[in-house]
Amino acid sequence: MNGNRRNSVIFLVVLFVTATGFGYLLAVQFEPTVNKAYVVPAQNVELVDIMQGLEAENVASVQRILDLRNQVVDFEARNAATSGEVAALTQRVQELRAKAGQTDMMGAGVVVTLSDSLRTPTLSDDPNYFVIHDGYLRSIVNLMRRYGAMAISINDQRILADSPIVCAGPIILVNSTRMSPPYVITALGDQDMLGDSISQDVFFRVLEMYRDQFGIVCSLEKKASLSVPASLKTSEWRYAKGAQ
Amino acid sequence: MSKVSAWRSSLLILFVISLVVGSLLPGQARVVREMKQTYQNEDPKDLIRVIKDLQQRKQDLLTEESRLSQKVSQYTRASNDTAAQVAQLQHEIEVLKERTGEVALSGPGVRVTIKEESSGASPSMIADDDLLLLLNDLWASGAEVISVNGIRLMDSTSVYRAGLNVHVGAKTTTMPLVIDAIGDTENMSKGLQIPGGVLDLLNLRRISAIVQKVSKIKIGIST
Repeated sequence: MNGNRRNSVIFLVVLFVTATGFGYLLAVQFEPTVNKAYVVPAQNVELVDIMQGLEAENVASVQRILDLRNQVVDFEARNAATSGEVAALTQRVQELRAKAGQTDMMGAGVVVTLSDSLRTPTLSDDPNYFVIHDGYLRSIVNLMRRYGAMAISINDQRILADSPIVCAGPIILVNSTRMSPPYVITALGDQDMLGDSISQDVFFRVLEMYRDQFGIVCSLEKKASLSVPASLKTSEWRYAKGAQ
Repeated sequence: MSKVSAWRSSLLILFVISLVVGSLLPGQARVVREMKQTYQNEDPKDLIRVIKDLQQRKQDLLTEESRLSQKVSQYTRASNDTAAQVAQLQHEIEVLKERTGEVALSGPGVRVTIKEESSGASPSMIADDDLLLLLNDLWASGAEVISVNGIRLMDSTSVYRAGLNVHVGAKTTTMPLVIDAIGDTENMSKGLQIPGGVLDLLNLRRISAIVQKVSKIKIGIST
């Protein structure tokens, strides 16, 4: 009888300690999330609302720009039919617009796709290896330029010389527009030159190592037909003026 | 008998506890996932940064929109006026030539001079990442045109290190680097010098970076 009671007391104590320990571990595991969820929601809800409102306005503005650009092109085509001089100047304008990144581009090239790991890092892992950083995108774009890319985009954003790629915490912004993973980086140009050179570059190999070890998405594909959207930035500068 | 029944009941209790905890975990994981998708759990400072960028984007898009609206109304007015059409096209060609590097530019801006420390047992060396970050920070804080040791950066210009040389597009230059940027002088200067920013990073690596505001910077054509 005594032995039985002692056994059940020991069992209960063991059970209590185990359950408490497990509960503690769970609490520690979820504490940052729980804290954030309860401390900041009111403020964040408002900020997220503002953010989504601005994004909706920008999407509408992009559509209006595309419509207006089509109208301009229609006018120019009509005018070009009436005068040889207008036709020659229109052709020059179209060439310069393409060179300045203001038109959609089509052609062969490569696509590099990067995305965060679906695996959750354990307590002993460094979570930095499981996500795609803005610096990775900058380095891939730089590699594409180095190996002859003629036009580059990240998701729906055209990358020109002055396109900043920045991060705000875990959010990556390209051309001041929020990107969502996967990050699809497209480069038009000689697909073999681009594909072979990028895949052999040390930086790309490091990303492949992160893919194998931490589960990030990192792939490179050569494609015969790709498209890159036009830049929506205005061509006129505020500060830089033609120097005589 | 009682030992067996105690063992059974303990197993049952453990089973029930595991079941309850197990059933709670996916719910918790779902909440975490949903919060991640809606950005509710982000740091408010990051969200404010995103909002500022989106406001900048809105401004940029509105500028292009109003420029295009103006153009459309000019074309509507000049539908039968060839001279006006020619003037409009010539104006656009001049603007676009500035963009495509066919025209030398000038304007206010900043000059960043970067020097590596060559003395001592371990000379310092600027890495590609640091250089890209510095240029990116300049673009992000309002640079319109940038040159590196006089070489103008175009859409297809890569910048990377190869030994002691620095390749800027198809050209090769060496340290020290003088980076000229035309644009919003105050913003660029502030953007580079924020605590923990790229200049602090360079200083930590014993690379000196001096930022000067210049009232008139000249950047040549792209060759």
